[in-house]
Amino acid sequence: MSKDADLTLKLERIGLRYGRGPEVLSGVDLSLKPGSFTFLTGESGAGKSTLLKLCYLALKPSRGLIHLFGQDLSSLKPAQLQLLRRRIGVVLQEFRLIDHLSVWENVALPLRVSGMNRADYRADVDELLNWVGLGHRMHALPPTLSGGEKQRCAIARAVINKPDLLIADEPTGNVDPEMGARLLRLFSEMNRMGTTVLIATHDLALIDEISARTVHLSNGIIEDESGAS
Amino acid sequence: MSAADATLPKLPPAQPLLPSRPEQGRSLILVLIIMAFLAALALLFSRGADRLSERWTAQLSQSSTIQVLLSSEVQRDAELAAAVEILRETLPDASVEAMSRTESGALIRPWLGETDLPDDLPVPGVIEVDADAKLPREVLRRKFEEAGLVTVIDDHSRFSADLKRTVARLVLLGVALVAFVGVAATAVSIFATRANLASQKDIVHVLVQAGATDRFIAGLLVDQSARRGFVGGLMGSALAFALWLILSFGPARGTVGWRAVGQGGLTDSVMDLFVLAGLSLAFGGVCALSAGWAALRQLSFERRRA
Repeated sequence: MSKDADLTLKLERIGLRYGRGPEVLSGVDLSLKPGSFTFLTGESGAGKSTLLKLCYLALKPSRGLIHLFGQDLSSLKPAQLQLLRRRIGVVLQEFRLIDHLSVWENVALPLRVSGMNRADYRADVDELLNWVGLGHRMHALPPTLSGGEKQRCAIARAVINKPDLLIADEPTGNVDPEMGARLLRLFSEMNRMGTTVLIATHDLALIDEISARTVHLSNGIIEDESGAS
Repeated sequence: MSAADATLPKLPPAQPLLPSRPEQGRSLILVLIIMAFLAALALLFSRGADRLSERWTAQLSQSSTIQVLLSSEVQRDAELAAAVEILRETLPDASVEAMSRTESGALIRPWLGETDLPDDLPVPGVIEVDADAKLPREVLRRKFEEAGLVTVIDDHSRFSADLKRTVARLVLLGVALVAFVGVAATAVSIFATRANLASQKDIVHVLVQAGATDRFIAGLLVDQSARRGFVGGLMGSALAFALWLILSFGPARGTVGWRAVGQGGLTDSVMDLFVLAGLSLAFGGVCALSAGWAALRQLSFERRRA
């Protein structure tokens, strides 16, 4: 088996442009080893969110190759890509909660979509909601939640099915420092259990909390890397 | 259920992942009701016309008319009596009745008007025959010839054939109308599915990101569409059947021929109800299939565009 096949994610010379515009990402190379913890930093507009979209399969690159869980994405059929998405947990800045579903149902969504029986995941969802401090709000609808509560709900949804790869875009941007630290502990705990974690953040305090690899993106190019790999 | 699960409070029932939008759903159901109503009426009229044709042809096949072209008016009674004798001998169980000159003359009144018929007008002798069995035309023709009678035997088979052809065309027209309505229902369902996907784009994105396959998402739309199609079909069919019953048992019942077209009895009603139930199911099926097809195509298109 090649070394690439052992990697959780490998981006090779990735370029991306929207329409005929300039390249938002240019020649990006990035590898994530299984069980690694990586911070992605960079100024606003550096291309962090775009890079994450490529990683969680919401976009296709204009050029370059993406290998995810050892598979070349360009050779996969749509149905195979959908199954790969089940192995990725995503936390977005805009939360993307479904307004007509309760907090409980939003969190349980990945399990429901994968065809699991409600009774089989009931206790897991309850436990996770209590862990993120939303146990008392499990029947509430997203429009009635505060920004921090929405953030925690989105995080709980991303981790409920114990993904192999967790991608988060500014996951602590809307919560107080205490809750931020608590959520980071959740990510660390998942990472300790084997989940590969990639977090895009501006929050230097968050980066200081954990000794982890940091990748800096500037103007669509990875400029430097530091920390544990 | 484990002991731990038993202690958990009861969860509310799972909500549908794609919410039904009542403001859109009502207009769509109204359109489906109207289409189902038209399709059901077309089916009922086709079935009614078919029933009418069967009854008329059954009646026609039992009755025949023998025209005796008299050698002279003086010989009318003698030649008619001879012809009646031959008929009774050949068809002992049949009802054979010769018409008087006045009755025969009345048959040609539509062409001649209300004026008295001239005495020297050669009015043919007419004999009406009602028989359960088919008329043995060749046997009768030979016997009439042997008796020196010139006759025209009319067993109404030509009229029956014309009637059957006409009704077959009416039935075909009804089926074509139902097919057209089916095509329209398919188009409406496809349009509604695309609109539904567009208006719920954000939810669909979340579902895709959560790992939902195209089939899973299409399945959600198929469920909605099948329910809507079935309800629309059922309500439209029920309205058409109610109108049908009013026409069958209301004031229009007495009009010529309607009685045979409309409800003739319990068997017809039950069969019509079965046909309409089938139509409702077919409506649900057509809507479900077209929604599934449209959703899969649209999702595939969106993916290629991403």
